[in-house]
Amino acid sequence: MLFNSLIFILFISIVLLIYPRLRLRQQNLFLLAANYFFYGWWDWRFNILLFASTLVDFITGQKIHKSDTEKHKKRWLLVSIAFNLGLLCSFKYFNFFMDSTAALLQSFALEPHLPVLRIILPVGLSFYTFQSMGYIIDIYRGRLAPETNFVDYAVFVSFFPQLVAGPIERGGHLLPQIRSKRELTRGKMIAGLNLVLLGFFKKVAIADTLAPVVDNIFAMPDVMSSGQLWTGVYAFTFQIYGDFSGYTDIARGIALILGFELIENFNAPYLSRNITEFWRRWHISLSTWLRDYLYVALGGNRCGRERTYANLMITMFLGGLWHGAAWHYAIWGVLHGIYLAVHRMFLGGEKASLSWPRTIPGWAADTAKIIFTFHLVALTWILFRTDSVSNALVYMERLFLFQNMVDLQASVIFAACLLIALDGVQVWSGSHTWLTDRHGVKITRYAVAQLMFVCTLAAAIAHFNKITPFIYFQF
Amino acid sequence: MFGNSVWVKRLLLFAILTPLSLLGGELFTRILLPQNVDPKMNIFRADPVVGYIYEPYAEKREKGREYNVLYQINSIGLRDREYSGKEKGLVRFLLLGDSFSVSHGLAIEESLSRQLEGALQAIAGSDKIRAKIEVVNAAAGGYSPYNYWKAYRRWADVFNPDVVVVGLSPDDHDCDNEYLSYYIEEGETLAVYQDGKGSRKLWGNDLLRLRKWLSWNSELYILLRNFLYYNDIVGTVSLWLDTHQDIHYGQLEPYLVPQTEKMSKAWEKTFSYLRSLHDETAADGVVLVVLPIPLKLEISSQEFERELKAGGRTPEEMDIDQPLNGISAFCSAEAIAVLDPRPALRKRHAEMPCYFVYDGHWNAEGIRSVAAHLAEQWRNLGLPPWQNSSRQKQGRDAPTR
Repeated sequence: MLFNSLIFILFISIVLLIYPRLRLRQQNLFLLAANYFFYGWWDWRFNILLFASTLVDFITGQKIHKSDTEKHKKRWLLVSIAFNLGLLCSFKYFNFFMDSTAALLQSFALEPHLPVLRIILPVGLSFYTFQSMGYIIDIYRGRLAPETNFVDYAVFVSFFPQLVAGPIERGGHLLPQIRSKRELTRGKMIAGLNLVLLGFFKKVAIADTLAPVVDNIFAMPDVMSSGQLWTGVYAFTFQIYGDFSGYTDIARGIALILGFELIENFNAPYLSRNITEFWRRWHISLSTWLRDYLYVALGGNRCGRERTYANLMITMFLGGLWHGAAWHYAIWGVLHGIYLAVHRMFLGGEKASLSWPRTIPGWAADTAKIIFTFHLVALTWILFRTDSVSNALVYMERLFLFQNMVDLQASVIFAACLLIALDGVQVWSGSHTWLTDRHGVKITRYAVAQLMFVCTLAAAIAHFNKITPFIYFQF
Repeated sequence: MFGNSVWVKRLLLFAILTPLSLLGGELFTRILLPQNVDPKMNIFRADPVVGYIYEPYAEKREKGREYNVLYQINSIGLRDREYSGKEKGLVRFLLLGDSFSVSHGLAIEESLSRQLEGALQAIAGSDKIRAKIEVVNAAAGGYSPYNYWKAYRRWADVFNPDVVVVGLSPDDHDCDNEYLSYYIEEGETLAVYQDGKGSRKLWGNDLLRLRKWLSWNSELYILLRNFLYYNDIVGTVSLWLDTHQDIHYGQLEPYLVPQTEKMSKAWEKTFSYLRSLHDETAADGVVLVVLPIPLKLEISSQEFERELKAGGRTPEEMDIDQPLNGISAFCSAEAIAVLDPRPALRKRHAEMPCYFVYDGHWNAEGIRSVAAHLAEQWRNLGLPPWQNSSRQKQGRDAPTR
């Protein structure tokens, strides 16, 4: 069930009609039913997988907590991780490994006949397995007590606003909210609606409008001029941001209306002044997950300089593969690993925070840094968007010929400016719900909200017969 | 509610902000979701014989999403070049029709009259027929069969044609102009009225003016209007109207089997005008040829499916050949030649679009294909100048204004 579909509007209307009238336990039971209905709308069989994952991690969580010895704890941890990674490998990576092995064997003049699984990837599998693994590792590390109520835990794993594309929640953050009574206030409702409007604007008005431009250009990069290819780069850079951060905003908004606060996933990433800062602002729930459960587990920066760089590369390589079972994702991750290592090597990877420049030289320097970082990220997105490394190379090659730069589409720049302006206001106000917070002049906020509504409606009408799924659903 | 000042303030705020946000939405739509606004044909003037014609010497740039051409009207009110008297050896065609025949959205060099003239002249040359061929474009946007008949009467003495070609669209029934008079204000055709005066009622004339103005100027309005038209919402409403009120099938009505009573009457009327036209041309010794103009849905299966969806209809309820069969049967009975451009258009459209994407009229490629095919058919049928030209009336002076 897509957020940008009519069936979801019907679904959420029914949920919001019933949910506030129930008591806490009833609310959780009702939420659980809604979660499974929402997820089963794609394919009811997905629910079996979700339930199995929930059951296994619920039991192993208890077992780890009750284990007396470190050996036993580790054993149960491995059971859980093996199960979760087994799911991921079976559904997401099996064919990739088989294809890669076959290609390798073929390079030695062998003709392998390796098995291929004809299965579809369940939506959101990567998200909820990571969320479950995070929960288990936190229990193993003694940072979290296991949930004793199965319904509450099942709601935690399957919470429909963030089930299929995050944010990847932490047990320590969401579980206490599930256990305790929610306050459904008018303020939360308005702030939630604010986020939903913002999310739909980013998704429908910006990302879906840029989608056909991106599809056309990336479909035939070999016949496009450099101007068109640059258009494609910018369009995809803002399409993926609008799409994913739009989803997150809608998810956070709906959760807020239901009385939950989800963690932030984006914080004006394209205004980052360096690559380290970018990863603190982009897909925050995944990057912090990778940092806490993978990078730190590998040794982090505690084992010397070379090992730190290697850990960064391994983490980003796996982060790339998390996005999809294909080499271009892996290389995309490795490239980001290299950027992070280089930044750390030469600039010390200093903690950078975005503050408005007070002096002209500072302002100019920051602007240059932002533009540089933005282009570094944007150019690396080419690998992410193309379906193969060879196509990405063709794209890059033609991109830097700088032929017919007049083909650069002004409409894409306009869409980019809209998103950047929204991020600018967010940074200025320090709030994601600035439309309904007490920032600036009230009438301006009303005007912006109404304008966003009109634009979103116009775009929804224009895209009515071609609903575009969220990009991150495939991961 | 109005006793509460907070609500009054909110309403006031809403009233102020709504136009502003609509303006913003318009800007957003123009930049990111551009739409094809309706052509603004403000170059007409009333005419006592035809109803209306183009304003002599008028110039208007016709802008759309897919075209930007200059309409230049000649000294007598035709979208064509200037003509002089008819010389010896000249075979003159008079092209009558609506926006398809006038070649909406295309430069005059790409128009049907010019392309047909060129194609006929080329074939005549290859057949060593020493005749000069002229095709006069006497078509105008919005004309109906009534206007075709009257336009012949209007221009016959002016041009003294040898052949009259009538472009007949299946949707001509949409505007039967016999009993209507155009209300023309400052050169803009605003509406047609039964009484020809134009009422000033809010929900009549003014609303129509507003809608027309919006369709010329607002891409946001066009977006909404097209959405309502091309989606199931309208299809459902159309079905409801079908069963409860007046019949509304959009473009599908001429193809519906069995033919609706309204459509039967419309064809009856169309054929009565054609019969009148044929009587007059025959009396003048002029050859009449009918060119049935296929709508895009007759050529493109995708367009046909889209229309079916919009109209809430199934293919089984349709006969795509029904209009042509009706025209052929009538013309056969009246001994009028019929030229069918559909085979050539279907073949070409499969390789290259022959219609504008958003507009629905023929594009330059469509016109070229039609003209080449017609010229071939023309020769095969032995029409003038291939026919023994005993009926050709050469040498008469053709006055121009």
